[in-house]
Amino acid sequence: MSEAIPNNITDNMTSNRTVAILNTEAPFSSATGKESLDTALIFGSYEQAISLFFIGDGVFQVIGDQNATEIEIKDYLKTFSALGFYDIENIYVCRESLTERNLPENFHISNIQVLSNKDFSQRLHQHNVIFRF
Amino acid sequence: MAMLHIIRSSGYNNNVLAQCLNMLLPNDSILLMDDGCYNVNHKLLLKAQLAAPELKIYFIEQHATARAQKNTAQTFSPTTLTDVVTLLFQHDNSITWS
Amino acid sequence: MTILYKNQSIATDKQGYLLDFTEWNEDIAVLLANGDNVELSEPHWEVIRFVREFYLTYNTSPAIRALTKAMKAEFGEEKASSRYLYRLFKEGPAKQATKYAGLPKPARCI
Repeated sequence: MSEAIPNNITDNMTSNRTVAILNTEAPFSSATGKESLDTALIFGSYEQAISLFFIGDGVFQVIGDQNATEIEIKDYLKTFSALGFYDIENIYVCRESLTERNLPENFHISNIQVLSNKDFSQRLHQHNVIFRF
Repeated sequence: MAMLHIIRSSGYNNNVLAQCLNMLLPNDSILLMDDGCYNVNHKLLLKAQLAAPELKIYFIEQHATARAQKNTAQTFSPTTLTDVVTLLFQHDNSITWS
Repeated sequence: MTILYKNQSIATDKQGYLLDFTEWNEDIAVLLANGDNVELSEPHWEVIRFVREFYLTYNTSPAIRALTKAMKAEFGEEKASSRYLYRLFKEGPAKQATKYAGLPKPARCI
């Protein structure tokens, strides 16, 4: 809560360092995807600039027409649509990973950028800290 | 920006190694530690080094020896956990692939 | 822990958050608020209903920054300032409004 904290402290908390989260697992068989999203939301809550990357089976987290309630799992995928409220706007998906899995560019969140393997990697390299989930 | 890719699992058991190599850019280096040392003779790594001879691939010697793993081609550089700190500072960032 | 509503006990956690958000209704919100000696006014209700709607849409309770940003889009600058929200919910708007809305405590809570 920025108003409760003196300005000089918030200045120290918000650095220019950028954080990337690299997602590599499908959404439902483990808690990894949800934990990754929770981590992103925490960074967002503290105004830390953060980008989300999806590669390999991680792309299964963002494809459209999924229905977690069919298998009685709490649908954390719905939370992706709230990312804008946490100022998380850089979301990248690897095109080769989609192609490999024969997936169309149909996603359940709107502002996804699909990048070639090389562009994806270059964008990832531009971040100071990278967490892989 | 140069990235240090830290591989901590066997490339024979999952595709993490392949995924890591897909993200590799010039100036990046690779470090094998823990079960990552099972990759000291992995075809994908040897191929990557052939394609880019300047690619540095390090492994924690202690971790490899403990697992009876020898880098037969002798093109990878043995290192120690202490030296990993230096290695980290020589790169702009790092990813852990486990 | 439990609270009593129409002779039925409704389960809560130690801090008084409902364990099952589907058991909630506006009478229960009043009960939960009374437990904290808070009397709910219309401005409180606006926030409580908004937080509940947020949860039903996104399956997550909003942390304060997300709450203010989302409320700004709905109600405008005035009612979305954290100062305004803190005046209504002194223990922290995200935490307190979430409780009265029958939702789980936000994990990333401030």
